[in-house]
This record gives sequence, C-alpha cells and structure tokens, in this order.
Amino acid sequence: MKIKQSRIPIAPLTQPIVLSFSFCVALLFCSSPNTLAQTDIARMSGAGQDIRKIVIADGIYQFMTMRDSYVRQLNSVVIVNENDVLVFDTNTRPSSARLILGEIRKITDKPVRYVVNSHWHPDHWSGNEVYANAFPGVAIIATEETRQLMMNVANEFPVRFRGELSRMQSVLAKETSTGKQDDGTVLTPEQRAQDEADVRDYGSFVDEAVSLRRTYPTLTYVDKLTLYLGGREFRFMSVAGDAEGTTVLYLPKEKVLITGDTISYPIPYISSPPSRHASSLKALARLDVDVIIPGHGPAFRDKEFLNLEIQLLESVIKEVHEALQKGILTLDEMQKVVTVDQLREKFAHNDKDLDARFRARVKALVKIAVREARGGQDLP
Amino acid sequence: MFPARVRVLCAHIVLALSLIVLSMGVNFADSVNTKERTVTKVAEGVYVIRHKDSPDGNVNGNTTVIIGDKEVFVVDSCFQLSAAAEDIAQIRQWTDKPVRYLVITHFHNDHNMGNGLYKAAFPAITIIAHTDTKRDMYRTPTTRDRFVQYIAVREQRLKTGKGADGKPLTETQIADTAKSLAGKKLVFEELKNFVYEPPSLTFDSELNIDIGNREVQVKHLGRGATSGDAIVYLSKEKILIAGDLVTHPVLFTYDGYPSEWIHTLERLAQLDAVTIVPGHGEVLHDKEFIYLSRDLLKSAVEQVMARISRLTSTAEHPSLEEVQKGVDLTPFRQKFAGEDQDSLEAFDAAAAALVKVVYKEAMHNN
Repeated sequence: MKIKQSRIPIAPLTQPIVLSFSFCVALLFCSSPNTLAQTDIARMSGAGQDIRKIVIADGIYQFMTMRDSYVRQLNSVVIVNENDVLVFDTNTRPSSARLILGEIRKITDKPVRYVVNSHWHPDHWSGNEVYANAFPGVAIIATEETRQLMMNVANEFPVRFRGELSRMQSVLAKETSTGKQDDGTVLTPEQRAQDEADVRDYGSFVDEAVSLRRTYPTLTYVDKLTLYLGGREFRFMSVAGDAEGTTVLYLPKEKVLITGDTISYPIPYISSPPSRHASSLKALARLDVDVIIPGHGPAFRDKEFLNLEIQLLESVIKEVHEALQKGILTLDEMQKVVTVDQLREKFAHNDKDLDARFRARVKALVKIAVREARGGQDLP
Repeated sequence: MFPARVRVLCAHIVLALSLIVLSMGVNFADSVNTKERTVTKVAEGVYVIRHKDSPDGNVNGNTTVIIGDKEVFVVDSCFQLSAAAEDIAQIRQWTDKPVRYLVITHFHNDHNMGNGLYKAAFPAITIIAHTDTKRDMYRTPTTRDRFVQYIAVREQRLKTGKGADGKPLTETQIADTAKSLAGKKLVFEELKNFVYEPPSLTFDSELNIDIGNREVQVKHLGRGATSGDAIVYLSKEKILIAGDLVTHPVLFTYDGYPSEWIHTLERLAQLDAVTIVPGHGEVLHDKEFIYLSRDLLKSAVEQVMARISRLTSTAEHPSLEEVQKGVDLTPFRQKFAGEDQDSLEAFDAAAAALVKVVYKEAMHNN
C-alpha cells in the first residue's frame, strides 16, 4: 500500500509520515559506510517499537528506535556519570521511554537527574513524564525558545495524530474493498497483513499520544549552558537545527557530539531558515569530535554526513539565489530548476524510496530557501 | 565582598548613635555592620536571611530561600560555615522539600563558602553560577591557606612586638592585633571542615527554572560588581535578588567594572520589582538605592574621565594620584553611609577604590 502524504502544514509531523508503510524495512538495512560498528546491540520490543542499544563509549549509550508509529531510527542517548544519569531526548511516546528506562535500570542504579529535550517536535520529548514520575528531582533541560514552542503547539499534536490515523484507516478500508493499492497494483495477503499491523501500531500510538501528561522543561537557557557532572563536562548550545532553538550537546573530553535533528539521517529534516541551519552545522563542523549522534540515524565516526548536509543546504541556497536573479518568478518553476541532482545519489544510495524522499525534501527546502532569500516572502 | 573588610569596631559609638536615633523616633539606619542574624519573610515561601558578621569582623552575604511546590531554590551560601549550617537547619524547619538549586551570585567567598555543606545535605543539588564566576572562584579553596598565613603573620607580630613596617607596635595596635587574631582563630576552627564545591552548572545570559508552581529567573545583565554577576528574579512576586550589584548601605566597588556597572544597574532597574534583596544589608522596597548607586558610579566615571582628558593635554600618562586630586565623591558620602561611623569609613574606602578601578579601566581602554 502506498499511502499518499497528507499536506499537513506542520513540517515535523508530516515529514516522518511521508514514509510509506513498507519503507522502514528497507531503511533498517541501509547502513552508511562511516557508521560505528554496533558492538553491543540489545533489542527491545514493545507494542510496535523496535529499539536497539548501541555502546558509543564508556558509559554512553545510544538507544535507536528503529521504528515506532511514524518515526524511524530515532535516537535517545543515555550517559551514565559518577553519581547520576543524563538522558538526551525522550522518544515519541511514554511506553517507548519506559522500555529505555528499563534498560537504564539494568545498566545502573544511579538516578536520572537530567533529561534534555533537543527541540519541540513530539518525537523528542513525549516520554518526559516517564522520567519525571520515576525521578521526582529530575531537571528537564531545553532552550527557553523550545519550551515556549512546546507550550504553543502541543495542543495541536493529538488533533494531527488522530487525523493521520483516520486517513490511514480510510486508505486501508479502500484497498481492502477494492483489492488494489493506491497505485493500482494488486493487494497481496502479505501486504494487507502488514498494512493492518501498521494501522494497529499507529492506533496504539495515538491512544498514548492523546492521553500522555505533557511534561515541559523545568530548566531552560538562552544561548549556552554547561554542566559539570563527575568527571564529565556537558556543553549545551542553542542552534538552528530542524527547529529553531535546538539544543546540541557536546562532550569535549569524550569528543562526542549529540545533535538532535540538526543532523538527521538518511534524508535531513530541514525547516529552519536554511542559511541559519547551515551556519549552525558549520559551527559544529569546527568541533573536535570522534562520534556524532544525530537525531535520527546511526552514529557517525567522521564528519562526512555532516559536511554532506552542509553541502545540500548551501547548494540549494546558491542555486535559489541564481535562479531568482535570472528572473524565475513562481515556486513551481523554481522547484523544477533547483533539484540539486548532483547530490541525490549521495543521500538516496540507489534506493527508490529514499530517492523519492530526497526529491520531496528538496522541494520543501527550495520553498523555505526562497522565502529566506526574499526576506520572508514566498513566491506564488 | 571578597577581602576581609578590616574595620575598627566602635561599639560604644554605634550604641550611642542608636540611642539618639531611637530617641528621635526614627528607624534604625542600615549599617555595614550586622550584629544579629535576622530572617525576613518577603513573600509566601520566600525568606531572606541576613547573617551577622563573622567573629573576625568579616561580612557574610545575604542568603535567600525560595520554596516551590516540588523543591527549594537558594541564593548564596554565605561565608561562615556555622551560619550556612544554621540556614540549612532553618530551611528543614520550613519545609521537607530538598534544596535542588543553589545559585552563586558572584565569586566572592562570603557568598559561596557554604556550598559544600549544601552539597552534603542535598546530594542531588545543582550549583549554578555565571561562566565567569566559576572561572574566578579558584580563589575560594585557598581561603583556609590565607587564614593560616594571616594568623602566622599576626602571631609573629605579637611575638616580636613589631609591625609590618618593622616599627614597635603601640599598645592600641597590640590590642587590635590580639583581638583580630582571636576572631580569625575562631573562624579558622570552622574552616577546618571546609569542603570546596564549585558550581556544577554555568550559564552566560539567562535561565528559567520551575521549582513547582514557581518560576525562578536567573540572569546576567552585564558586568558590574564582578564580571559574572547573576541576579535572581521572581516576576510574579516582583522580588529581585541583586547579589553585590547592590550592597546596602555602601557599594562594594573593589572588583567592579564601573562604566559597565552603570548600564547593568539601569537594566536591573527595568525589572518590575517591589522587593529588592541586596547582596549585603537590609531588604529594600524601592529602586531609589539602585539609582543612587548608579549615580555614584556615573559621577566617578565622568569625573575621572574629565580629569584624565584634561591631564593628557599636558602629560601622556597621568598618574592615579594626579587623577584622584580632581575627583570628589563626598557629596554621596552621607547619602550612602548616613551617620554611622563604620559605614562612613567603609564609604571612604569604597569611594577611593572606585576611583582607582575607574582609572585602571580608563587607562586600559586607552
């Protein structure tokens, strides 16, 4: 079944949903050559989740949720300190966070004293209540901008999730009654079973999403914040990532950089003004790092993908400027001219679904690049 | 305030003045000396503790306690360990909630020597300071060593009967030295249990912290009394905790950045506040003293700059002494210090230091 993407105006919710139901399986096996060897992988499975634990360094664990409702390869990072534990991003629903907390308890009996929310998109903070309930003294850190955005948009989440579920249900009903998928191909029994399972998974996610206790950050900062816990130093910086006011976390001694969706794999999420996102990435590229853990995707051992994301942003910005100066006056025309085909293979790796996602993402990126280039004005 | 403020205690004069003031039916004027520990409730769940001076005559910074539904937030941990311990015991009487945050307003050790006691009492505590304050706190752990040195020097003087200049000590000098030595030794006894606890969280401009239905803002409004002054603000309750950006009744100028301090105080005065807690001295209820402090700094900067530019027309590097001659801050003297002899002396010393700091700032910028 190919479920068409609904055009919901809030980017972060729609972006992950552009995945076709069968896409995620392809993604699981699409590994990047420069990723860390997954030396210690534990798998946890919940209702619809598939979560893996990857040891990044001594006391630093990446929990990658391979799939959970609409998200793929979503990271939550756990860092065990001398006296306490810090958790960076809390997943897309409480039951996923509970699975991860269960694993933390197996690793250590130290309390989680700090939780970080990289940005306001719901797949990065919807498990906050799990940590707040288990550890009453926990401080939840984010930028003040992130907290404001959370409070301003959180009421929309259940509405959007419910809307997406009913859309998925109606697509499923239609293909079941006609025996055909959207693209006209025959609906096989296997595909039907898969689609039904996906709708059930999304339904259970929506049940949780509408009933969770929204737990906002309790400790917010504006530009920079540094924590010293045991022998570790944690540098928090506010940058423009996929969202404005995104927190990235850098551990200078361990040379580990945790970026939230400032970097996301395999196809980057981009919704801030592109030049601001690009300059944030360039600042990160100057840091001395051994490991980069993106918001989505496997951890990187080098800066190749970071530089590729910079290249994508800068190429689109440059080509949009040139096209504007040549006199291109409609968005449609602009999206036909600026396609950065030269970079497509580097992101899509000959994969049909990734190719389609890349094209769609570039279209969206062109739109916001035009808006930024024209001082906030869209082209008709 | 960092360096021990050496002052002569003129108890009988203070007493006499107090009696006169009392008999006139006027409120006590605030003094640089604090003889009693006082606790002022400035709002529901918000207390200001003013500590009495240490036995060695050194001052203790004010401590403010803010109690939320979930946890407690404390501003400054003062100097004397027995005083900090008393504060912790007092907090436990007020509430069974843990102290989760302790903000250090600046690096002077009369505001942060008690950190270790808080950490021991509340292991989950996060100690917060501006980035520069953490950097400059390197002097705090050397406090005990400085006491050792101070005591050794005084003991030597009493033994030899000779002062720092090698001249024989007078009777009064001997008595003063013995008295200050006794006070130092009392404080030193307490310092034997001192554990250094540096800030575990630093910020550059602003933090907002929710302690359970109570939002506490921590801000750096620019350089002032030090380069890393943090202020704490409760917007609902309109309470402003100013640290040593504001010290009552006399400004502590020694480590300041006067030309920037002026603007920092102006930004401070922009905050909607009806209760202002200074780093030292009594709780204030209007912004008059903030403006008075700004005016003093402004006057010092203007006079020193005018003097320097006049002198540089003839000499390339005017000396501090030459500049001092043309600067007069005495019109501010009584406005700050009133009639209290110790406060007047403290003002004169702070004013002289201010001129020196402005001079340095100006020559450095040139």
